[in-house]
Amino acid sequence: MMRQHKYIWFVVALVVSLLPSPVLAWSFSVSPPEVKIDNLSPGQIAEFNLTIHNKDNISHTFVLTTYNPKESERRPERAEFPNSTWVSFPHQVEMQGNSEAKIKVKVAIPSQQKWAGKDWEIWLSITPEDKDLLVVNYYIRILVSTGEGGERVETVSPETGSHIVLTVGVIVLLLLGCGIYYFRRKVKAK
Amino acid sequence: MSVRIVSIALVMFLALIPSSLVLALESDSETITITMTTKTVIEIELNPPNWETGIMGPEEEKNTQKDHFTITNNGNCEVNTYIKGEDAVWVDDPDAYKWELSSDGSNGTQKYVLWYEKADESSYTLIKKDENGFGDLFTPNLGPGGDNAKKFGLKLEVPPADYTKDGVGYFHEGGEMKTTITISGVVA
Repeated sequence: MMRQHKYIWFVVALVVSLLPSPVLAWSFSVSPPEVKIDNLSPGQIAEFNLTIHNKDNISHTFVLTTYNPKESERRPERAEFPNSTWVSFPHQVEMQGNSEAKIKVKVAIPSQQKWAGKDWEIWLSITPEDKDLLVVNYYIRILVSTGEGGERVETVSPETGSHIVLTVGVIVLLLLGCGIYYFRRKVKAK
Repeated sequence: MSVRIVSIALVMFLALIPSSLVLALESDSETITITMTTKTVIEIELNPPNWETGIMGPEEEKNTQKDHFTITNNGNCEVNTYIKGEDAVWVDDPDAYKWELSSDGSNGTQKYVLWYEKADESSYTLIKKDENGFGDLFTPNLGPGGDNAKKFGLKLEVPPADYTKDGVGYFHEGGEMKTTITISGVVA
């Protein structure tokens, strides 16, 4: 049941008219506004950073979401991105006043041959959580082109790569030890 | 002496094995190219961000000057901007009372209307809701810098009274209503 205030026969519409002083404009920037990922084969992951700059003196929280643009809004020859969950990023970022934050964005394509050789586009929306009457929202274009490949392609993540290097290093040291031992023994035998 | 030379050569050869293996691994996997110009920045400023309408009665209409607001592209790339509105909600309890944003330009019970007018135009354009999108094109190819800034105004018409008593119209909830107009920017 709604309360009925008889003593107020009109409302103050839209706005923060009770604020003691006018609210000043503030802005934030994002860089880059467009990211192009080429030759990302199914099963692979690409990572990049977006930089948000909060130019206000006070802290703000920014909300990040994906958006699938209509065909007319996409770049030519770009199809709809099949699944927005393939793009991962922090969905909320708290930032101090006059500060910059680097946001890591990952694009991971499932390792199925059917996703090879495609050109897609998806947008990442960044908007402040607290809103005035007028609020700005940025969309970052993410253009993804998948290479040929598919299930045969193996992804070498940095972790896997370092494990291989470590194993090879141990083998090399063992071989080195054996070599030195062999030559010393040979010298002694002379 | 020759043993030492052979030993050193062997050490160098073995030391090169890991790096050549890593190179081999890299050449086996395809090269992913990420192209992004980090010097390109998107930044839009809306000034002022608010409009103090003051107290408004049922069916009252108010508008700003048509150059009241300024949209400026402070970045370094051309942007397309889009505009959309949303329902107005009662600040004290947004779930208890709201006004739906009109989609046809006519107000009605708990339905209000918003328009914008660009400074270089002489007619109002309706601001509509677009829950799953970013609204209608507002300023196409807005170039960077103050010289390219665009000015615009807003007009608001509030709903008729929720009920009338002794010839006076009332809204169910008195107090402050709030809404948001979102202007979205995407690189052109």
